[in-house]
Amino acid sequence: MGALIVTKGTRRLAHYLNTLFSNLTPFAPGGAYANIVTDLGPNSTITPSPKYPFLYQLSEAYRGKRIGGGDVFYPDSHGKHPNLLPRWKFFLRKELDPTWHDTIREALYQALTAGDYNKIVFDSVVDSAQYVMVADEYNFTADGNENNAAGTKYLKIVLVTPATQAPYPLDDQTPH
Amino acid sequence: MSFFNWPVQFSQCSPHIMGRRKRLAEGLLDLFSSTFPDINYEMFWDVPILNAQAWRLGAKRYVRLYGGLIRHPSVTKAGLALTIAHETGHHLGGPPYDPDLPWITWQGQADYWAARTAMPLLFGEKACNLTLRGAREIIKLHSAMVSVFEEDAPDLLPECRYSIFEAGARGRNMPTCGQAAFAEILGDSCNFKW
Repeated sequence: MGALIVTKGTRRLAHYLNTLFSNLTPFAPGGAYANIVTDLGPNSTITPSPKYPFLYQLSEAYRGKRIGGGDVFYPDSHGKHPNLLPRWKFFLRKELDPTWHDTIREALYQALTAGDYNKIVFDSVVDSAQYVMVADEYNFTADGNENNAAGTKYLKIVLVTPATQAPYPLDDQTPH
Repeated sequence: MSFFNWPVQFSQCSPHIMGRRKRLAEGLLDLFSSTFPDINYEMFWDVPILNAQAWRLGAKRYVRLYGGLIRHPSVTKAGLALTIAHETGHHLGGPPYDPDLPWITWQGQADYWAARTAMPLLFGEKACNLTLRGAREIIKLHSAMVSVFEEDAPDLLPECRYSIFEAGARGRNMPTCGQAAFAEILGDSCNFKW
């Protein structure tokens, strides 16, 4: 997401999720996050419902289970962004259509089990409609071109959505 | 996730002015499209947010211009052109790349490339004045937004953005504030040579 103007909260969330999936080793069989892969797949212990859709339940199920402490799918709360997590949770629960929960779930499962992706990255784009797009991409070489060599492939998941209507107040404006 | 807190613009201007602004944006997007044919330029007139985006999916590269920005009364042709140039710079501006989103050029470098490379390519000898005017419009908008949404980007303050635009327009090197801002994002791991 390159944009004319970027918000700090936006950057924090994108940074956290992209860091989480920047190294897929913990998601491999026997790894610390192997159960997450199971829960993304056909033998999942998570049963989504209209009130508690899949990604919300997954995020809640792995609270406090991050390597080194903290929640797996939520960044640590930040004093300057107290509303970031409530807004994100509201979006996952109330605004992201169940169809796109499933699309993201399937994309994550595919990338984590295929064995030839080196990371998963997320982006978001504003639109008047909501949908999710998934594609393979490759790391850049130093000259800015794609490097199609083995080991440079990653999965890109782009969330296209209208702005959230989460009813939480804006956070403090003071730069830090 | 960029859908948080972006201010919107619901313009009260007349249908005549709205039509004129829409045609202006269409004309600029056509101009950029013919100059940078590898980029897909899109206008989302009905989306009221005050922003524009660059994004990529697979091999395709996109620039989106939203209606809220196009309709904003203080943004003229200069501001819109520089905005589109900035978004194009996210794709073509080269290193340094954004450390969090490494498939795009970092914000400050996108500004610099827009002023130094894209604007002269499109507007020739008028580029410098157009860039500086556009920069003032963007910075004014940027500064105003700091007070209405969940904090602005800490890595690039409005004053520094103006310095970057100006340096690019006048053919100078990336200013120290831009270099410092990028170094601050990377912290100890910063070894980028400008």
